[in-house]
Amino acid sequence: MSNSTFYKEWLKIRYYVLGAFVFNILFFVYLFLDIREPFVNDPAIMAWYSAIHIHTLFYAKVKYLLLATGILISVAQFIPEIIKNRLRLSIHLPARPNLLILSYICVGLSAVIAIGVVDIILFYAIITKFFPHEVSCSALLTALPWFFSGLIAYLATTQVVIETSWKRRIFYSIIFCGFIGLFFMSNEYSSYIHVTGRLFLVSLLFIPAVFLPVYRFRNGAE
Amino acid sequence: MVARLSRYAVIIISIYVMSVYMPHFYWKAFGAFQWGTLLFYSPTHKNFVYKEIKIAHRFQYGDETGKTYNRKDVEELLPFLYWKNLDKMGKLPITIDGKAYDEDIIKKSRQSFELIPRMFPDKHPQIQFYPLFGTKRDVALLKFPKEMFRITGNRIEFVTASTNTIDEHLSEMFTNALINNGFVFPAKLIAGKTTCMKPFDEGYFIVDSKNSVFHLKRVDNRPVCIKTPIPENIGIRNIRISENNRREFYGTLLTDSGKLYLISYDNYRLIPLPLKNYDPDTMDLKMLVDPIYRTITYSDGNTIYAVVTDNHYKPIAQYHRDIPSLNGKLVETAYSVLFPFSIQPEPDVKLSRYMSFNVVTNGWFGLIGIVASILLYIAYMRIKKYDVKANLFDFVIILFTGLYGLLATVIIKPEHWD
Repeated sequence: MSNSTFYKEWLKIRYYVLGAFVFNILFFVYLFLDIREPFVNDPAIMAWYSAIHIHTLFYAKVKYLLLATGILISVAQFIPEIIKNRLRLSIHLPARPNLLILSYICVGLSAVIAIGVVDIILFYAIITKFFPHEVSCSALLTALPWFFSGLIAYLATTQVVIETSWKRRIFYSIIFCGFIGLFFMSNEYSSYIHVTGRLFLVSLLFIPAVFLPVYRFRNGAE
Repeated sequence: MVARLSRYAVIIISIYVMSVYMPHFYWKAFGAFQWGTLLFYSPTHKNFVYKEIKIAHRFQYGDETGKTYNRKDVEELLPFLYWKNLDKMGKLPITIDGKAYDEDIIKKSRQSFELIPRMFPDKHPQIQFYPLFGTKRDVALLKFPKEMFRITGNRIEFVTASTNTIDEHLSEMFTNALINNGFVFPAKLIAGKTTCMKPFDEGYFIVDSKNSVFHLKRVDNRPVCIKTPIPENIGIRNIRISENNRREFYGTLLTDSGKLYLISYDNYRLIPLPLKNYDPDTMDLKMLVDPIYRTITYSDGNTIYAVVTDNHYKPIAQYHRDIPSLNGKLVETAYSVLFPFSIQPEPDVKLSRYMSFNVVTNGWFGLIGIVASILLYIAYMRIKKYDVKANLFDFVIILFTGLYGLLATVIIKPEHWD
C-alpha cells in the first residue's frame, strides 16, 4: 500500500467526496431548520413531549443520508475502474491484488468515515441545542445504526460493482440490501442498544467478503 | 486461502440475512392472522363467555358449558359491556339479582386497564424525563407544564423547555419536599401517566434508593409529597398509574416475584389480585371493572386464563381456554422442516420494543430439512464435479443451517481453481 496509490485514489474521488460533504452539510442545515420549526410555532414543551413520550423520531430524515453517501463514493470510485477496464490492469500489476484493493477501500472508507464523523457531531450539536442531553444521547444511539449502514453500503456496493457475474451481482444486491435493512427495522428510539455490537460484529465480515469478487475478477470468472 | 475465507464470509452474511427474511416471508405467504380469544364473565348467566375465531374472519361466541351463541345473544349476556346497544334497544335498566342498573350506574362503575410486558421499564426504551402536571384547586382542566423533570443522584431537576435550562427555584422546592419526607436519592423507578388526556392528575409514584415509595404531586405549583406505607421489602418491579374517576385504586404494582397488586386509595393499601399461572414477561393482562364484578384475563397467546372476583377482590370463578391456532398443521410442520432456526429481529411487539436478533430454533423437524439439504448438496457436488474434500466446511455449514446453508453454498459456489 504505497502513498501514491492512496493519492491516486484520492484524486479520483475528491470531487465526489467534496460534493457529498457539501450535500451532508446542507442536509444538516435543513435538519436544524426542521427541528427548530415546532419550537417556533408551538410551545417548546410539546416538541419535548412528542420526542420523549410519543416517541416521535423527529430526526428520522437523517436515516438514509450516510447510506447514500457510502453508495455514491463507492460508485464514483469503482464504476470508472470497471467501465474503462482499469481494474483488470491494476490487479495484474506486480503487487498483491488483495492489498491493492484494500488500499483502494481504505481511501473510500476513510472518506465515508470522515463525513460520518462530521455528521455525528452536527447531529448531536443540533439536538443538544433544543433538547436535554438525555434526548441527544438517545438520538445518537438511535442514529448510530443508520450512520453505520453507510460503511456497510460502501463495502457492499464495492463488492457488487467489482463482481463479474450479473447473476451474483443480483444475489449480492438482494442479500446486502436485506442486511442493510436490518439497521432500519425499528421506528422506536434507542431500540438497537442491545444489538448494535452484535450487528457490528457480523458487519465485519464485509471486509473479507470483498476479496471474493477480486479473486474471481483476477481469475476471469464469469 | 483468502478467497476461500472471503467466500465463507459472504456465505455467513447470506445465511444471516436469509434466516431473518425467509421465515418472515413464509408466514406472510402461508400464515394466518392469529386472533386472541377474549373471555368475559356474564353477570346474568354467572359463567364465562368467550369470543374467538376458529375459521378466518368468523367470530364464534360461546360459554364455558359448551353452548354457542350469536352476537345478539352475547350482548344480552354481557349487559355491562354492550350497555349502549341494549340502551338503544330499550332494554335498560337491566335487573340483576334484584338490583336495577341503568346507564348512569353502569357508566360510573366501569373501568378497564391493560398490562402488557412491553410496558415494563426493562422492555421498552424510555427517556427518563417527565412532565409534572400542575393541578390547580380552582381549575378542572389539566394543562401542560412548561418544564419536565429528571431525578439525578442528589436532586430532582426541572428543565424549562423553551430555554433548555434548569429552573433552580422549582428544582430546589421539590428536592426539599422529597428530602423532608425522607426520600433518599437517586430514584429506582418513576411511574406516572404522562398525558393530559385523563380526568385528573395523580402525579408520580417514585421508588427511592432505599425502596420506599413516595407519591409526588404538584398542586397550585407547590409540591405535595407523601411517603407511602407500601412495604420496602416487597421487591417492586413496576408501578403503573391510571387515573380514573372511580378513585378506587391508583394503579397496579408488580413485584419481582410476579405478584400483581392494586394500589388502593385507602392509604395506599395493596390489594393482591388472585392470579394463578400469571407470567408478567409473556402475558397480556386486562382487567374489566363493572358494577358487580372485576374480571381479570391474561393470556400468552396459547392459553387465556380468567378470574372473576367480587368488589373485594375475592375470587368467585376461574376458567381457562386454549386459543385456537388458525395455521394448518401442514403449514407449521413444513415451516419447521424448511427452517431449522430463524433470527427474529424483534420479539412480539407486546413483549418488548427492543430489537433482539435472537436465534429461535424451530424444533426437531428441522433435522429432516438438514439431512435433505446435505443429500441435495452431495448430489450437487457430484453433478458439478466439485472436490468434496476441498469443500468439507460447506457440509459443516449446511449441518448447522439447513436450507439457508444449502442455498448460500450453491449460489456462492466453490471455485474450481480453489
